[in-house]
Amino acid sequence: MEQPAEDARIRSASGVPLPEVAVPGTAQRDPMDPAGGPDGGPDDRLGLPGGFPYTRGIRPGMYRERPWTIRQLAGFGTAQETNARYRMLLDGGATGINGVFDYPSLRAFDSDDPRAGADVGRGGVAVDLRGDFDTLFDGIPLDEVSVSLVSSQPIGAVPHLAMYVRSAERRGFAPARLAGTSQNDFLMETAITIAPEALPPAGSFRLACDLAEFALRTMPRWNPVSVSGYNYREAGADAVLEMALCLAHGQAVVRALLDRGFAAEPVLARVTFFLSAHSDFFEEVAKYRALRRMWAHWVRDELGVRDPRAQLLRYHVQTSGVTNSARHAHVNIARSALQGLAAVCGGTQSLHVNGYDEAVCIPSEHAALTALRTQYVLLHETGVAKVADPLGGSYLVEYLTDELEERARRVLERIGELGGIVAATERGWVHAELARTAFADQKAIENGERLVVGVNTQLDGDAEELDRFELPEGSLERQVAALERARSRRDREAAGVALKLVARACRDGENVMPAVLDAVDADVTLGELGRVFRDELGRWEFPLWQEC
Amino acid sequence: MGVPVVAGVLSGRKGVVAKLGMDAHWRGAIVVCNGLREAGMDVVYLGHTTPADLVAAVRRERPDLVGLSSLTGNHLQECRRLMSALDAEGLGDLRVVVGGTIPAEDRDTLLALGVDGIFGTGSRLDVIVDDVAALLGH
Repeated sequence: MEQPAEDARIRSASGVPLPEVAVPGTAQRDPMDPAGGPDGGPDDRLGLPGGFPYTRGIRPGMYRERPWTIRQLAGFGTAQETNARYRMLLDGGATGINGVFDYPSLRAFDSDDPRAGADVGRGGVAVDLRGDFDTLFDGIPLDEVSVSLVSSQPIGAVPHLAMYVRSAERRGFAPARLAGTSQNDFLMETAITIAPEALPPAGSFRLACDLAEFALRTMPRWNPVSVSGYNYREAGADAVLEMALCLAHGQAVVRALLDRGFAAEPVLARVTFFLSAHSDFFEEVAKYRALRRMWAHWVRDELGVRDPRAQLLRYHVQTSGVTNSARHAHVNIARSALQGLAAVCGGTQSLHVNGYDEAVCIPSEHAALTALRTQYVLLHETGVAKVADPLGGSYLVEYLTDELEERARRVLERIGELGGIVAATERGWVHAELARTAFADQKAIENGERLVVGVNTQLDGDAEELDRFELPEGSLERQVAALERARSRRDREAAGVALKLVARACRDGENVMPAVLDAVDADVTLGELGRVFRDELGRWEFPLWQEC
Repeated sequence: MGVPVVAGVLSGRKGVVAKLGMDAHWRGAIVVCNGLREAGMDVVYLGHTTPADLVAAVRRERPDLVGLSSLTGNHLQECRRLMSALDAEGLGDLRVVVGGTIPAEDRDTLLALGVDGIFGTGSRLDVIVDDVAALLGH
């Protein structure tokens, strides 16, 4: 990518020199001197970017040092079709891969499972075998491009990572060179995207930690858990609940890995977050800032960890799909751009901007490219990348930052009283809270308390008709045929033995990853592994939803 | 703005609500369940349902209404499977409504399959309640 001259980057559009960060008194002093609050020292609730408690960002120069990663979500149909989309996005300026899987693959059902039915290749790519990962990442340098596997549910994340690692090894990329992320979030499995035959919360959480343990030992550039506040938000949470669930979950993962014998620093350096960018601009900016501060304080004050690299809350952001409207779809371009602006004003490390057809279908090529170009408008045209934490010191943003912190702290305490995030999920508290906030939000729209363009105001004009993205013809049939072919060709005995060893690891409480890696080498399928996990760790029937 | 839901307009009525196929987006279905309950309906949320599970639930619960929800684009194939399962069991007269991301061009196909009402994303709860009440002969 062509970089603008250094001078042009650090001046405003009309030539005013811009400091790396603005602080109280910047206007009166030498604007290029970043040090000092009004009394000469930085406010200890804000600090400077790159300094505790990181309210103002994780690096001194923020996007001057490194722009956020432009990571557009993609996945549909078969591995071959999705590989072409990845390449299109990389050619168009994406700087990371954000690969999403279809529902059967997320939940570890095979593409020919009767339950999978019409959902194969919808909303994500279908994968069944290690060989699908060979095709999915064909031609992509896995040691250069960081790959986020949106394997949201641990039951799928464990086999997906095993398939990814084995596939990469066959192409000459050792696990230690692989950079990326597994989403691997037990709340996704048990409260957010409820599957048929989901694992119970404790079993799902255990698989998530098995994956994390394996990655921490063998994949130093891999983020093994991405706590998915984005999805909690989409399911109904407000900003405060999103924050509290993220913190409670992130803390639980860290504590579980400490219990498995890890030192805190390497764990903390690799647990990451995935947050929403909703429509209330100032609240969203405040949310990111408050979360960084709360996490840094927890790490330092509760865990006693002083290493600055371990105190940083790092995250990816997606603009909010649920805020998009189907009626006037092109207005979603404006909505998503503003949400993306909030994300980068708040200091995100990575961003996906939604396609304007998000409310209707997965992104068409045109929608995906428009979203990608929107990221470059943010990066090159708005000036937001020139100065770290550009809204720091705003009376409103600082007030909201403090207020959100206080409110999230109260919810976090409530989760603690319930016995932590796993117990709160088992008891149905998480489900009830999400349902309550989602219903309240719908009521606020219906009684006009919250106005949404194209939904309850500005309804003039006909609904726009979009060219809907359609799955490529024959996608499902090709996937199922390849799966059947692989099943008939493999060494059946070896596959059977490999599956038994996975079952034994589940029963004996050993880390399942080594057995799963062997199983995918023997062409054991995703659905077969899912069945073993369900048989051994249990099926959760969600009696809770009757009351929600 | 907004007309309050008429309290009790669906009292004495029973509904079962299910997600189609493996679609994960439960938010809209649960919000609609709560809206129907607020209007007095007794609502059972089934979650993800195979055609066989739905038939069993209908025999067990004897609902006045079945509500189906999909946001992934699986609605045509999954509705076809479910409606033919209901027909095969002699339950074809049951009132069925579908909600979610339903493109305009698929509406006629769904109605031809025997679906009685379609509520796209952005539908208001009071409208859903009114339409369901009308459908059930209030």
